[in-house]
Amino acid sequence: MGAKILVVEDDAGTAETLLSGLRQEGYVCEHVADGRDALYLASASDFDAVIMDRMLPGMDGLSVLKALRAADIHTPLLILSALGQLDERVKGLRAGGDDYLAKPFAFSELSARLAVLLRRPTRREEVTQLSCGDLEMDLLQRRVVRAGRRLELLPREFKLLEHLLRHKDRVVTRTMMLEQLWDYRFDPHTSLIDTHISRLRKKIDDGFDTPLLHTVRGSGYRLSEAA
Amino acid sequence: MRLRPWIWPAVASVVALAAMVFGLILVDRVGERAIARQQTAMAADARDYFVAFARDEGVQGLAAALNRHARLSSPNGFRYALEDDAGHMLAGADVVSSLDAPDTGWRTVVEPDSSPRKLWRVLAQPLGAGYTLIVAEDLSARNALRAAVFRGSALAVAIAALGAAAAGVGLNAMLMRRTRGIAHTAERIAGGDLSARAPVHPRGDVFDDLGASMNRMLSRIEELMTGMRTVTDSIAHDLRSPLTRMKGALVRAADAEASEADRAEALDQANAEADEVLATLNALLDIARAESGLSRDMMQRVDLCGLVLGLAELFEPAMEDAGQTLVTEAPVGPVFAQAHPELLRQAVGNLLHNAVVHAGRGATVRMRVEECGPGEARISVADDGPGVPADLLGRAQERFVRLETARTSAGAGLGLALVTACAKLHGGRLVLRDNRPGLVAALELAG
Repeated sequence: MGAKILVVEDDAGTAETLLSGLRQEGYVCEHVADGRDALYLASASDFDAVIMDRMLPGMDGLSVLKALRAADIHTPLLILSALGQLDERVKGLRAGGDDYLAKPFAFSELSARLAVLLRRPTRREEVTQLSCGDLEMDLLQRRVVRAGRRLELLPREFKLLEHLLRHKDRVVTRTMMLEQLWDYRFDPHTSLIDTHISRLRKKIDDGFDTPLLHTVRGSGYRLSEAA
Repeated sequence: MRLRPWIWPAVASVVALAAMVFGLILVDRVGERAIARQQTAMAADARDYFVAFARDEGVQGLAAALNRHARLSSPNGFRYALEDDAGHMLAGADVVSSLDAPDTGWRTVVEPDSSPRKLWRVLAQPLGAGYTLIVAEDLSARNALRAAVFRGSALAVAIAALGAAAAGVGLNAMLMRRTRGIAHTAERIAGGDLSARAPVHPRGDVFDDLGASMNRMLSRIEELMTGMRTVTDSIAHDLRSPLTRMKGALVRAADAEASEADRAEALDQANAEADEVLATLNALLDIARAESGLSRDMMQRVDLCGLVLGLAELFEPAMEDAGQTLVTEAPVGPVFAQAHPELLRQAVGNLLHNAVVHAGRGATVRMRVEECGPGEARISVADDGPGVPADLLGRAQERFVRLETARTSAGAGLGLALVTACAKLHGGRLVLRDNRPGLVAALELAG
């Protein structure tokens, strides 16, 4: 059975898109359009994640979020908002949100971010080894080996590969990488990520039989053994 | 309460009137008491003098002296007389004999058969052996004195009141004249002439200060209005093109005879155009927010060296792809400044992006962080590419301006406008200079 998601969205069209998309990906969804209902539902039953609009009738999204956190309910929460500005994003995260996505958004972006939220471990285990197929990364010695061959990576390439390995088999979007690796929240420059990826790809895939770093059309990149 | 034009003379008149009434009441009361005390003292003096006289010269001598006094002295309000114990006047002024004098001490009496009524203040002093000395004071004389004092004071107060009223009218006229210039300017602004400015004299009184402040405000408003007008025109222009292309792509995608591949390609194009529109709108919102100063509560202590090094790492591959070399020069230690980190990163990112797009192949791009003073810093991005003609350097910072040489490359021309807005938010400015060859864009932060 898929993860349980609470969708809080007052715009019927957006809610419809969200719900059908999420259900198609196997999630179990519940939908409310009102801030007060959202607070009630989120505190009463156990959801794996909440996707919540910032502007809601009844009770403002940020207030719902603050109330939840104050009540010691730490369900991962992704804020959706038409206010796609830097400050609003920071305010949302400061209020206890786990991620922030500005409308209009691509569903693939939302889906990738939701997957990360759901996978977020409650306690971050100390990992020293990461791997994908015959690619191995030693975080302590900062060494990367593929099929027994040592790969020389620049620090920025190491950082990028580590991020992809930590999200193995999942789509990581360009915006997510910009935000999480370089703290850079500026969509028009997402193509910068492509320049990083093409260099990394040359180093880890060139000369090997099976490519590990895949481009997912229309959303981002994925590191996995399967094509 | 509204300040009407006549308010100053009105206030001056009311103040003058109040002062006059107060002064006159004061003069009347204090004057009357002073006069009464003085006249009483004079009467007592005269009595004591005549009593001493009678003791030295005898009653006959006193009688002779009183008669002589009544004959020779001009009446100054006081009359003197000597009476025996039957009330008959022996000597002195005739009028006293008709007055109903007391046996001894003070009494105020009415002169019989007088018209208008005449009052006397009478002092009787027994001299022994049945003789009585009478000192009588004509109270109408005392009233005349009082009236004279009152008239004098009233004249003085009236002159002062007139002076105050005149000063009020004068001040009013001056205020009206000085405010009329400012009001006139406001009228012209209201009428749509944004270039109107209040007259300011170099003398620099409060009205000149007011006018100067107002002129600064008007300049800012005019700047914003012009900016707004340019922006509206440019938005219309710059959004119409991608939207038109998007519509075209959608029409192609909806074509029933289009192949699956063509349809997918058309949809991709529509998607890309929509992204461009959104990027433009987002940039506009960010600029507007930075310019309005609302982002100020997000300012925090930021290490500029760390910020710049992170950006260098991010942009290096893109620069290499463009055939450029990126050199970062930053002090070894951290350089702290009060800053909005996201916005600042975006602004410096725009400068680097501009270098990638415009500096051309083979260019060396130098990004430098310098500490200029406590809390003051400069982040500059310099290239040795073709640069920007000197006469266009100023225009390059305006919203939606794409210099003709850059028309061929993509972008809505908002990059430098955002950097400028970011500099403003940080209390600094963006300086564009000729690098001989190339362009230096320096973001100066005042913290």
